[in-house]
Amino acid sequence: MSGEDWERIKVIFEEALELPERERMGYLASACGSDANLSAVLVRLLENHLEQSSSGSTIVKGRVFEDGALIAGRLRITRFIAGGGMGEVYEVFDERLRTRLALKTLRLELTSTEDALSRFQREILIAREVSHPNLCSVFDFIEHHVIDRQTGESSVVPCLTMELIDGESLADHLARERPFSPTTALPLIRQAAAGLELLHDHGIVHRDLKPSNIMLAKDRQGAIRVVLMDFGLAKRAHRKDEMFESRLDVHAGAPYFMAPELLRESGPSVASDIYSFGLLIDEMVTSDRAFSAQSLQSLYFAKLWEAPIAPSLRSAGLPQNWEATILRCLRSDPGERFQRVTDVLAALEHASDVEICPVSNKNQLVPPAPPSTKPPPVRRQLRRRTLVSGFAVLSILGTGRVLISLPPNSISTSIQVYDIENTASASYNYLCKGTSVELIRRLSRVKGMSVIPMHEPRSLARESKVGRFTLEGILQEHKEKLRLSLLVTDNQDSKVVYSEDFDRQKIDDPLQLQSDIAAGTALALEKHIRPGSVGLRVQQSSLFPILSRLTGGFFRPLSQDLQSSPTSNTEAFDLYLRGHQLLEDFSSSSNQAAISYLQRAVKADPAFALGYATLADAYLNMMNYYQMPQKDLLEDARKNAEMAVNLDSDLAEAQDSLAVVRQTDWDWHGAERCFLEAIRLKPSYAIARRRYAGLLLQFDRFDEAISMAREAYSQDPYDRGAAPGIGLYFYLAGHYDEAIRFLEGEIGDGDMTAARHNLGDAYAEEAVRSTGSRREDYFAKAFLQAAKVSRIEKKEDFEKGRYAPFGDEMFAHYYSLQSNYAAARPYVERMLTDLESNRVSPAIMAWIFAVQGDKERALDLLERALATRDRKLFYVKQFPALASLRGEPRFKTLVANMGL
Amino acid sequence: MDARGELVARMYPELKRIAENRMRGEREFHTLEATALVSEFFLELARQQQFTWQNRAHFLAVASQAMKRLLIDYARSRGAEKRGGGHLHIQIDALNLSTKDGVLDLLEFNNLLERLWSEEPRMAQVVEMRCFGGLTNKEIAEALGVDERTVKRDWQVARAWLVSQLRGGRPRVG
Repeated sequence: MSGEDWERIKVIFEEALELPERERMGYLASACGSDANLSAVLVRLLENHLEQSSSGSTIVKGRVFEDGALIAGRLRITRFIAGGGMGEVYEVFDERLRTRLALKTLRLELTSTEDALSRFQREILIAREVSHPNLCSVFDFIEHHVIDRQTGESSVVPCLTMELIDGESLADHLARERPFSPTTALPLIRQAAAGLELLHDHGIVHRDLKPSNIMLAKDRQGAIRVVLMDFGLAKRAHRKDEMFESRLDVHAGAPYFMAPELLRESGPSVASDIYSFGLLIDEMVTSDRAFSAQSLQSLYFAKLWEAPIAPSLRSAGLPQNWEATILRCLRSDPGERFQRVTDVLAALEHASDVEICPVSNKNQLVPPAPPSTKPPPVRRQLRRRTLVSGFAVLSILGTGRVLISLPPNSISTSIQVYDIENTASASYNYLCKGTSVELIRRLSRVKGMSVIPMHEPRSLARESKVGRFTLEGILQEHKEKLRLSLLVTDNQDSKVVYSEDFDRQKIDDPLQLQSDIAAGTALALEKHIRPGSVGLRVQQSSLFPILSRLTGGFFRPLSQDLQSSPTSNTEAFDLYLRGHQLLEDFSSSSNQAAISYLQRAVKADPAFALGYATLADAYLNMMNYYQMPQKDLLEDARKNAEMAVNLDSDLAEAQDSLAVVRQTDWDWHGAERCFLEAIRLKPSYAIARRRYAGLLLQFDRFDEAISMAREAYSQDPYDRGAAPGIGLYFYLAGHYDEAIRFLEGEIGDGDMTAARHNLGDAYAEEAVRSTGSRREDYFAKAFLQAAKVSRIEKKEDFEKGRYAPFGDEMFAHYYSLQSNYAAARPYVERMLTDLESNRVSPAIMAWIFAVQGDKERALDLLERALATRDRKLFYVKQFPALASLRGEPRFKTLVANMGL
Repeated sequence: MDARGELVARMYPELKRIAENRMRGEREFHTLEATALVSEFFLELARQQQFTWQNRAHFLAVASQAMKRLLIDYARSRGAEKRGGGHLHIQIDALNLSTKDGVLDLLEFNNLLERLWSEEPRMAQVVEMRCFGGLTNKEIAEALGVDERTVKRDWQVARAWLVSQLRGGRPRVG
């Protein structure tokens, strides 16, 4: 059968299925015409389809007890209430005590061993001790003996008698009714929390909180009483091989409500209860799921790797503190959740506490402001602010947008900024990365604020609290809606100090978005660190989110720090963000694509200084790939860097780009001036410091270079270029042992090809300087790095497959150092081929020949590199591989020509 | 070895362990319940730190394929261990077979699936994701980047065809 036939079959088949059964055969006859073959196939397919769909595989399991049966000599079964993963529930009449009770059977598998049974009984004893109106009372443990009629075997059905609760489960209620409003939900949550809190106080973990385990009982006055059921009993249902039995329960609850650490095989804890409690609250107010997954497989993935869908996306108008509270409960790290149920409740009840949580003075890291800048007495200030706040509200109605900012010196603190996580479509990657970068850029301009870029999303990062505050964000997509949520937490007490959502409209205007986020963050931090300065009273108002953003702005002059936008042209900025993101990929194709985006960006806004500076960087990066004439690239870089500086000479990024252009141009003094200017303009700009270190090194200013590099590194430890850079500087300065120590510590399990390259080179130099087994050992380590780098490069470079320029270079280099030229030959030959296609720098080729003692050839290649102003010549004086050439007149001329 | 090959190689012992645990010993021939197996295998895979996933769709697609390859490998190894009669039987709820208690011979099923691959690769992929990944039409549509309706149609036709073939019926097709 050909592909076309299949296509035709599919269409006819589907159309036939949509018809009433009696019309199908007639339709087939007309659709297939004279093609008897086709008709036969379709008839066959339809028959098979019909049979399948009529034979549903619903398995109805037999109940354990029939109505009227007498259990344990005193409990008469009156009706079946429900059946579930844990067992069955019946209503019974206790004939001795003349009272109605609930009887629950426990699944036999769960209690199959003696040990399990006795542990279970012990737990019931504890549960019996806990009595509370919001907890279902547990009375007795009963073992009922059953004899199988067919086999005659006897078995035991363990049962539990409990308080009978008249009402419906929360699950049933939510399936029928609309979700609760926060106001209606709060009293119910309060009751549930009271019950749960008491359990926790007794050291009992509920383990199975879910809507079907929560009863809503109406008392005589019509008030609703919330009763938690089945606490402490679910433990064995979480045992690994039992968990999968609850597959049928996906919609009833269990796996969905389970905390992710339970999937990872950690034991249940108060924190895992808090997680389930968060989902419960979420479900009450949204009637929707925070993790959308249809199959259990998807659900596992979602719980382990994805962030929950923001509640406010699923329930319009949900108060911000509810959202923040729910999300905090749902943190995948149990340590980041609320630690107690009462804290969850408090966060829901006191809106303002979640948004702004003033710390007491004794917890403050920041010293009090000096007397000269002491704020006016709180009372007076408050009055002024309140008055102005009222005015500001009027003004926002008038203008629709009020900007806020902070005066310089208002903050002295540190904030670690994670990349915004993109859970929406990949086409928004640029927006997330770009917004993160821009946030870092803007926040670092606020005086007194030190910004620590983390360069990855929070969910991927190893837990580290390096700053006083943490800023993280997530972009989510849900049913056509797009939302960016930002959260700032205080690392001291994990409290949320600022959270804000931005919807699609805002996101379409990235400039305004970033201004808003940067300003909101800075303002929130200021308030957080200086409690009492702004509106402890204002907090009580529901207008607070608006007021908080207005008061600061109205009081203070707009500061250049935060508000200066790199461009006012949205299109240009969008293109810039895309280009910037691609540059981070460190590959020639993405670098090329970045150039085209950045070209369009500066075309859209010809006054976009940062755009030109970044474009210059992109051209300079492109030089590393040796695919285009180096000279042309340098010219393009120069034009753009100069343009950037002409447009805005106070832009550190522009000065930095121009510095590298000058350095590449061998205008060493010009380069130094620009580097120093960039550092002066923006002391926190680690990249300029790192690059300047390289320049210092070229002039053998080793100590300065290394301390400059170290400074850059401590400012921005996550800068991708920093680790290999510093390793290289140690290496070039001849501190091989330090290079090794540093790089070994930095690399860990990471890919980091450039750093591994430098590490391998450092091992090799140590090897050359050692003897005996030490020498062998160092060489082995060097070759290991070469092998790793080759593997990583080939993996990264799927299209080219075998292409591993660093790896080839390393193997060729180390074999040559061992004087094993035969082994080096295949690598050298491959490099020579690459040299012909301009994929390898002649300078690098020269090192290999210099090591092999072929001085003439090495010098030829160096001179060839000189003609193209190859960037790999930068450290020609320092590279140990070239040491043997230093006495040669041709080499001295070359160094002199370079002005080194 | 490509990334998927590596994944299969690394997860094989794990799958084997899960499969042996889940094997219904009381049967004349050994039978696996795909649904339970799949769910346990996926969780195991999701927990593995050494694999990185671009997103959920990527995970589901790779995991379904890995599951199939692992099961086939497992079936073959069992066939080799026990001469004759070593065939692995599997119960795939998604197929909703009304005969033989819904149990089918895995290798036979795989042969059919390969025939489908050669003619209608997307249909075969849909079958793979339904049967070995336990995914729903919506999830498959997301993973393959096609319309849910398309997945539904592919699945209906493919299932009907597979079932007709499995019963030994040989409709005359091209």
